[in-house]
Amino acid sequence: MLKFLLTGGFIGLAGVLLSYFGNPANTGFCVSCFLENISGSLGLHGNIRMQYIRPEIIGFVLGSFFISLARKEFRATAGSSPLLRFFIGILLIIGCAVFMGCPIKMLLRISAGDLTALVGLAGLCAGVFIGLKFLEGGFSLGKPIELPVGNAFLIPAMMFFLLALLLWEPAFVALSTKGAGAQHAPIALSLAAGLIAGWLARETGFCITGGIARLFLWGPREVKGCPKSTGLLLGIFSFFITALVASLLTGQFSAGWHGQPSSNDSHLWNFLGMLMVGFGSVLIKGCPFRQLVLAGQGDGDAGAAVLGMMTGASLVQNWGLGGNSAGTPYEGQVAVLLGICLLFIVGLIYRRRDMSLAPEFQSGLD
Amino acid sequence: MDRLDRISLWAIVILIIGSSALISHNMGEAKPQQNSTKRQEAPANPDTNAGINNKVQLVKNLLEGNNPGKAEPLVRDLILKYPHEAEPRMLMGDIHMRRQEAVNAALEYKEAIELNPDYLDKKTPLFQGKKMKIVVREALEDIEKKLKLSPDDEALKKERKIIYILQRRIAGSCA
Repeated sequence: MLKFLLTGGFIGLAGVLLSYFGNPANTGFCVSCFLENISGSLGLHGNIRMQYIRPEIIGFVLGSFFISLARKEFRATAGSSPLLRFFIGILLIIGCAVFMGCPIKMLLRISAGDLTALVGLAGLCAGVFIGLKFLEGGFSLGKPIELPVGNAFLIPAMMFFLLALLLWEPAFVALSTKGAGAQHAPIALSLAAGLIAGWLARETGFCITGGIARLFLWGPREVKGCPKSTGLLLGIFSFFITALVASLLTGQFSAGWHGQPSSNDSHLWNFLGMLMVGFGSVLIKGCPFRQLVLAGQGDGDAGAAVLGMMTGASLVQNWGLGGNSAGTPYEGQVAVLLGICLLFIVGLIYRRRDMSLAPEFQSGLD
Repeated sequence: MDRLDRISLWAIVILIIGSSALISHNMGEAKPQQNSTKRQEAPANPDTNAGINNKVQLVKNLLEGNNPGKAEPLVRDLILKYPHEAEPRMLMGDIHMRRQEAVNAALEYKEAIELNPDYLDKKTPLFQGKKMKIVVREALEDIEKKLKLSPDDEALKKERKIIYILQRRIAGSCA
């Protein structure tokens, strides 16, 4: 139980402190915003205010990589519809961008008093619920197989390369001098926070959508069985409480519906954006943060999702899909509707109607 | 075909109809936001800068000399001549502030930051976020007072909505 409390507590505390030390408001950790920054830095989009190689993302992957190596659990697995996961990775980031934050940032926003983010939470829960109905109805992307270990090094190697680029700052890497991309905590602090978060999340399987999914799967039993069964939920609870206290202590707490950072009043689209994230995350077994952690431990399918998320981050900026303070742009609205539609189609196509919960989704449920 | 299949098919049909309706509704509409983004990133024209800088300085001198009445027609002229420049909008906001018209000032500042978000960026010398924060607070207080007297005033509600957007811009964002 302690390690779950510690994981959630650390991610919540670090999330608030990174904002305090320079990251944008309520954005101590945000997988979607940070991937948009990284893709901009690599020249995949041209928004001069969104270009920075975020060390937190590097840390998530490498923290998981180092600990899985140390525990001799670093294995290359893949083959569970990686292309489809790539595609769903794109949709996850589009949904996050419409809401203006990944599930982790959603909790950071709520703990900083942003009541509009509660709409996103409701959407995320609805998406997880729909996704679970498909899992119970036999949805399966196929069982992953073990591959030569070299495959497992690809995503960690990419992160080492990004770290080298960040430290070296070659001319072809763009780094914002103004805007959100220019707001960042010191590199060492961000990297350390990311590494520890990646390590702890690898140890506990910390995942926001996973925690919510367990609540839907087990219902009241999930809470009654506390602390034996409620690890992920405890982690989320500890995340929220720690972030709330840290926000209050650092003067970053401001309760209300209006004037909140990274928010708008397009509540319907925020709901639907997070619904898409919840739905997609359940289908590929993990929220965007979890995909990064899994990729670090050698999961090639999660690696495909990470590359998809990176592609999605570029598309969000190039096509103007993300939400902003004025609301959700028309392009983002269409993308969300079509994205949810595509997830339903994927759900239907990949169902095996002769079985219920597929074996790959049963691990960790006992 | 079980219940989940049927519900999913209905959902797919509804989502396709919804997105088609959205696309046809918005087809052919202008996209001012994208234009303004392009404007910020366009290189500055030296001729425009020279022309505007002299007049801006003149307006600033007039404001420092507590003469907003003389400054206003000059600023209005600048806004007409240089509709994509943010500085005249900021100056118009300043004029409204001198007259204690917080709502009008906030609306002008909102236009200014749409044209140039650097006014809200602490890392640039143009940063004026603290001033705008005070204006927004005063403007919202003004509007709430007026709304208590006439709760159905749609124009006031529209202004409040615009000021909320400015308030969110000031609060910051990751995008």
